[in-house]
Parts: sequence; C-alpha cells; structure tokens
Amino acid sequence: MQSLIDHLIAIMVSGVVITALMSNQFRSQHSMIEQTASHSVKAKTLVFGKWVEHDILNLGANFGRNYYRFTEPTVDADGNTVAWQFYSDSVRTNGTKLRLYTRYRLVPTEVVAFQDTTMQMYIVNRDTTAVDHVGALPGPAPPESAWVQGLWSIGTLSFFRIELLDRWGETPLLTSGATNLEDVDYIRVRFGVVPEYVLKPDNYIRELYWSRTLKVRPYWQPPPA
Amino acid sequence: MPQTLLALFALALSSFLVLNQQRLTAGARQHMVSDEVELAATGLASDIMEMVASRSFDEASTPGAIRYYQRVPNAAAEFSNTTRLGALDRGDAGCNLLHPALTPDCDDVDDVAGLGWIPVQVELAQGRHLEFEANLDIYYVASASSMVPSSVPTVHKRVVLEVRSPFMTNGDGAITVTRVVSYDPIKAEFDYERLHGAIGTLPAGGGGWTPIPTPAAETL
Repeated sequence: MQSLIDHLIAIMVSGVVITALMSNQFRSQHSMIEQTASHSVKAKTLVFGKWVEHDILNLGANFGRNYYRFTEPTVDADGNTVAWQFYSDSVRTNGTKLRLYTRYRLVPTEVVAFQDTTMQMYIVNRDTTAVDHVGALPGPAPPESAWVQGLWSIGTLSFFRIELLDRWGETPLLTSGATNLEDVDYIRVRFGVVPEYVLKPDNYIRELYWSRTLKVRPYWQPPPA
Repeated sequence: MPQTLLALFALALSSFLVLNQQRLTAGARQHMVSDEVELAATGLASDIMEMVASRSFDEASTPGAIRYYQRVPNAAAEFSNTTRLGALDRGDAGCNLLHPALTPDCDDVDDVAGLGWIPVQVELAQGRHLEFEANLDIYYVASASSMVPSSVPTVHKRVVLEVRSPFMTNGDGAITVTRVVSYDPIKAEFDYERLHGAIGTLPAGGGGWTPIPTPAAETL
C-alpha cells in the first residue's frame, strides 16, 4: 500500500500517457486504412469511368449514317438507369456486317451501413453479343441466350445514371413521352462509388462522384446544302 | 521531486507525439477530401464544357439569325465583334451552364463569358449535392492551338473554364480546363433545320414563307 501511494503520480501519469498513445494509435490506424480505401475507390472509379467512356465513344462505329445506335434507358424510381443497350458494327473483309450489341444491367448487390444512413450498392453487368446483320436499321434484339456476360464492372456503385440529351441539355421527348432518340446529341453518364471498407464509427469519405458528358458520334445525315 | 519532473517530461513528450500525429492525420484527411472534390469538379467541368460547345458558335449563327437572314454565315467577319462577347445578348436570366434550355437567350458560345463565379452543383446518391462555383472566359483565337486572344473575329473561340470549391485545398483551390470551339457551318445549318426546316424551301403545309418578325438588335 505504501508503495502504491509513493508511486501514485507515476501510475496516474503513465495511465494518461498510455491512454493517449493508444487512442492516437487507433486513430492513426483508422486513417491509414481509410487512405488505402480512398485510394482504392478512386482507382476503381477512374477505371470504371474509362470503360464506360470507351463504350460510349465507340458506340455506332462503322454504322452507315443517319440511324441512332442506342435504345432508351430504363430508369427505376430512384432515377438509376437499370438497363441500357447500344450497338456498333464490324465490317468483314467480304463486306458483310457483324452487329456488336452491348447492354448494361444495373443489379443491386449489398446494403452498406454508415453511422447515420444506409446505402444500396449496385453492380453494372455489361453483357455483349454479336450477330450477323443486314442493312443499317436496328434489327430485332438478340435472344437472351446469345448474350455473354462480361465483367467490366465494379460492385460498389451507389448510383448509376445515363441521360440522353439534346444540345439544350434536356432529354428530347416525343409527344408520346418517349425519348426522341434521333435528337440525342449527348450522352451524360454519372455514377457514385462507395469505398469497399466501411469503418467504425464512420468513413470520412463515403462516396466518390464521376461524371462525363460525351458527344456521341454524329449519326445524322449532313444537310444537302 | 525527480519523479514529478519525469512525469511532466513524459506528459510533454506524449503530448508532442500525439499532436504531431493528429496534425498529420488531419492533413491526410484534408487531402482525401480535396482529391474527392477535385474528381467531381473534373466531371462537372466536362459537363459544362460540352454544354457550352453545344450552343451556336456566334449570335450570327443561331437558328434565329439564320432564319432572319435565310443564310448560314460563311466568314469570320460576320461574327460578333471582340468587344461584344458576353453580356450584350444573353438576356436577363443569365446562363444555366448545365441545362441551356432553361436560359434560351443564352444561346451562343460567347454568351457565357463574363458571368463571374456562378454556383453549380452536382447530384450525388440519395438527393445529396456537392456545391461548386464556375467561371468562364471566352475569346477569339487565330488558330485552334493558340492561347493568345485575337483582336478580330475568327472562326475559333477559346473557352477557359474554372471550377472551384472551398473543399479543394490542393493548389489554388480550383481546376482550370480550356478548349477551342470552332465554327462548323454544317452544325449551324443542322441546328436551324431541326427547328425551322431546310433553308430555301417552303415551310411544311404550304402557304408560302412565314412572316419573319424583325428581331431587336440585341437578340440577334
């Protein structure tokens, strides 16, 4: 007992020092993991963005002229694009055409819980197929069995939106309310990506945002003048 | 006494270490946020830049002007004077940088010049937003690769776009992107024909030319 009292100050001080160092160590570890996660999510965002950009800039390749080369996106109640299909052509040396179809399907994956909210995550399934094609007009959609699932995707998207825009930044509509595909000049893609590691109590960075507006290949026939 | 001194020394040393570590952690987090916002700003800049380039090249090549003159401009001398770029013909509503349809009078590339820093936002998941400010400068250049303003109208306009956010702490807190928008008479004609039909043909339905109202000088 006498010994304890003699060293009371030392015990208290060592307690404070150890607590401070442990707390510091914990925060430092949290920060390091978060930096790694942040770097990882940024790399994934940029790579996925590059894939999408590549797809859109190449849609309609080798098309004759004057025909749109994508379908109207299907949108869910949250504004996410859940399905979208587009195509381009590959011309063989004998002049026949192979039509290359690509479609995006947004599929929910997991729900991630942050300190004060939850967020649904998604994956974009990118399917492709190629069929013989005659003529320039869009043909019937390939059968379901023809599609091959490609894995150019990531599974931690928080939202995914594709907007077809005219030169006024609006979606051109027909009187029926459907998108007027022939008036689409730009395709805007936006998505968010959630970090893979959700830390306790919370992540400092919850979502990375990526957006591009891309002028699609001109598919209108130049005016005769 | 020596024990107390040692305790004070231990406290001072641990405080120094902890504070230093906290400073590094705070700095790292600030950089992470800045990186995140910078990535979003880059995307926003791409969106704004495309919507600027989607407008007519000049007031003289807007569908309204082509309808009035019934011809597509074919020489740089027909374009706005270098002193007329900006506020003179964009109307009172200003310019919406992401949805030009909301400000129809802001219809040519140089109308977005001189707006100053205007708020723009990007939409994240669950209705959350990230706020930015954008500033644009437009001037004629002699060629598509030139950065030097031209004193006379040419067929090239350089667009300089700055996007800033208080959360971007890297560098000067803003990103700057630039590109040249060049005059394309086919685009001008196509934009016109989408609205009014082919130049030099009778409007659909017959009955001759629709009377063309004389536009005020500032709306041309």
